[in-house]
Amino acid sequence: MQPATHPAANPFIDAQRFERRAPPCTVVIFGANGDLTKRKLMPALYRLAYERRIPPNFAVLGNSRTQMDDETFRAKMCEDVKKFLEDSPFDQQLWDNFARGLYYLAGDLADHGFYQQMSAKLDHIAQAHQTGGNALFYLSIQPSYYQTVIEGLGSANLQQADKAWRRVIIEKPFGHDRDSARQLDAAIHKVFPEKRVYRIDHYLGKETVQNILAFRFGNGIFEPLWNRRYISAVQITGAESIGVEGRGSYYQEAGALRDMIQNHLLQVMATIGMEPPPAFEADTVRDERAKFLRSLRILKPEQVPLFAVAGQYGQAKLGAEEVPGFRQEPGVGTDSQTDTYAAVTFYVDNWRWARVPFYIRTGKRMPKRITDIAIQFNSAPHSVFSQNGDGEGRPNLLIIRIQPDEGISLRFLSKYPGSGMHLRPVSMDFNYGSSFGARTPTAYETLLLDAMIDDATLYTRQDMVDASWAAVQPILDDWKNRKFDFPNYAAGSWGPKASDEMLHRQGHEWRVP
Amino acid sequence: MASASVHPDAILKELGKLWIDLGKQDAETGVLRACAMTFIVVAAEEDDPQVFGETVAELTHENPSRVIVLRICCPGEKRLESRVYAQCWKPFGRRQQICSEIVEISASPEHFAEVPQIVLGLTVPDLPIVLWSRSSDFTNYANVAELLTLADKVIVDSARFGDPEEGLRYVQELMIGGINIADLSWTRLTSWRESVAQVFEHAGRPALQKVRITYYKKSPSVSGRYLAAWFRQSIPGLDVVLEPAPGTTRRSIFMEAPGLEASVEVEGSVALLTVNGLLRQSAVPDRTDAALLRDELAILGQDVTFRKVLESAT
Repeated sequence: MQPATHPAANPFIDAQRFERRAPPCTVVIFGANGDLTKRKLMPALYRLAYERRIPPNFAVLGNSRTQMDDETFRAKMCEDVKKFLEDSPFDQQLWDNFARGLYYLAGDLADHGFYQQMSAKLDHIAQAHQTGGNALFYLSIQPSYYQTVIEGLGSANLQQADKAWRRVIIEKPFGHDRDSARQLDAAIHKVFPEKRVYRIDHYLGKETVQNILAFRFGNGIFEPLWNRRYISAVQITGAESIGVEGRGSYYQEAGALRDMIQNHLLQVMATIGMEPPPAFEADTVRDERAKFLRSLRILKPEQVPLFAVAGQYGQAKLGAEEVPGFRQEPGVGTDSQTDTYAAVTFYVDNWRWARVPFYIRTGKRMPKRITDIAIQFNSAPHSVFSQNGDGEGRPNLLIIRIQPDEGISLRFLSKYPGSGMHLRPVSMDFNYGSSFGARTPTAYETLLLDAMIDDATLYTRQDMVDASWAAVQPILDDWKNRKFDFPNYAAGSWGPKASDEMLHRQGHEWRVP
Repeated sequence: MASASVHPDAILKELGKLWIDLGKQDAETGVLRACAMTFIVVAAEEDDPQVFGETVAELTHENPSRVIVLRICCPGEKRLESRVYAQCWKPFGRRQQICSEIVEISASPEHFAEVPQIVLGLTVPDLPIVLWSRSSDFTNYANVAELLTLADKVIVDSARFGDPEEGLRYVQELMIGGINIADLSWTRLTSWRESVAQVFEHAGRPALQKVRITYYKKSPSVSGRYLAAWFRQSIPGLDVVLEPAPGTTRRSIFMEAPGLEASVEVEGSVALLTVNGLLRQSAVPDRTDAALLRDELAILGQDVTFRKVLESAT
């Protein structure tokens, strides 16, 4: 019998059946005392443990300025996980096992000595938990500290290890504008090569955003219609019913355009408009997204007022509740020029989308919390039922609901029952919750696991970030130099009148989601 | 023709009435009639209806379906009857109930030949059809072939056969007949196979020379035979031996390569993974039928690995 040869790949892997599981590693969280850690990251890691997606040789090292020992950190995380765990039971025994791998190290991010301590602690954890020295650094901190931490990691040579991998996850915002984003990238690349940088945009981790890819590229019937010949416009809405919720000072510096459109909504738009990738692999998918974002038409300064609208909510009475305006929110200046609403008409200069407007809007204090995409098809070319049809002329709409009530609807016209030929719009619905009862993982579960197993498909790459900054930069430049007559929409409404007018000029109107 | 007493149209009418009644009972939020496939379940004669019902209920949470339960009962009697009911559940944090509909058809062996025709009239158009048979002699009944060929996937459990060789032959014959077949004996191996893949990876993907798989019963189970075939498929030329290990209930896989001695052993609900003397222990709880079926329902297409294994298993 011939001995088997040494295989290059693991021949026992059965991708169709085996769950994706993380390899042994330590996740180092900078900002472990913060909101994101308690609400999202730690519940996601616990849930991955619950699902047996992370191995027994796994650990978490938390960091913040606050002094506490490992036990206090474990107790605090336990409380947070119990409070913020979504759709899941809490299992005390499982937690006890999981918590044995939780460690904490307080320290000043600007102190290079701290990174030496971190290195020693990571070595200790690697020994104690047999993590093989693999580490994933998660920067859940103020963006102004990104560069400091990256340099600190570099100073202690933590970005590399013998026979182990080291990766870094960076939360948005990736820069404040295009120049600062480029500076940040340059600083990151001095320490970590692009291949080991994971820029997280949690929208891309949502099941429903991933389902857009399945919907578009897993079905044959939509692709022939998915272009300028049949689609007259695309509307993307990312509305929040809440205000700034105590984040007034942060939000005042960011604004709706930076906070939502430059990242989340442009990534959603790229998912809607990108070309089919040859395979569902990190670089092929990201190449197509980047190509789409590079095709966005860059507005000239004089075009900005025609294709972009800024808004800020004023106070209003919603039912019995008096809702303050943005300028009345804590931490916000009384003459703030920050946009709490932004709407932009984008054009995509390629063969598929030439002359099709992509309308994107986002806002705080809208009538409801909703994120959806409406593909508006051309109306029927000839009105056969014009004498009777009171619904005629309404275009077919394909609506992809990202949240809440995740699903897809197709609106079309149908004959109203009776002797006459009256048409009414009706809706054909697919609802995620009723078709698939399985619990859907949160975006952070998906993305954390992806980073641990080195799958960057749902992470944004440097060229994607740069292209999306390029598309919004002229708008930022214009708005910076203008004085708006804010507030220009009432809390609880769908935004300023100027936004409606922007669409009317193109012969369209915002739908009411 | 379907029997006059149980006709698909009458059952569908009953279902319609059931949904109207459910809507009235929960007038405030209504109930959501959910269906993503037709799930035909053939119960074994010895199945406890309550336990069996719980399995079906568990499955419909994740796979809302029109479930058609077929029961072969009461030999010697002339019986063919049906009933419909809904299986509802309330998702965490939601007010509206989601319900699947269940049609139960009971027939004595004398009448069972009529059942496939009734089922054909009850499948949900254009959605996948999955058939899970717990009965080992289901395929011996008349007209059943129509159902088998209609199904996108047929799930059986060769472990229900007393004689492993007979069980394996049964599954292989279904495959040869063109059925997209799944065997829960294979599904049970997933955690074993994952452990093997892990051990192999952590050992640095060595050039394996020999694999020994032990069994403690009179002859190797179908799962054991599948495992051996899987090793041979994965590494052509590998020396794979199935050998008895009397006096123990421990099931083991030993892997040998130059500089490596590794094993995966399971006793009860504890798994021991050993690589060159380094031991790791983990829990492997027994998987229920519902858990195994959940895995199978997640894959409606061909399981290419299993097909190759089934072709070569002996």
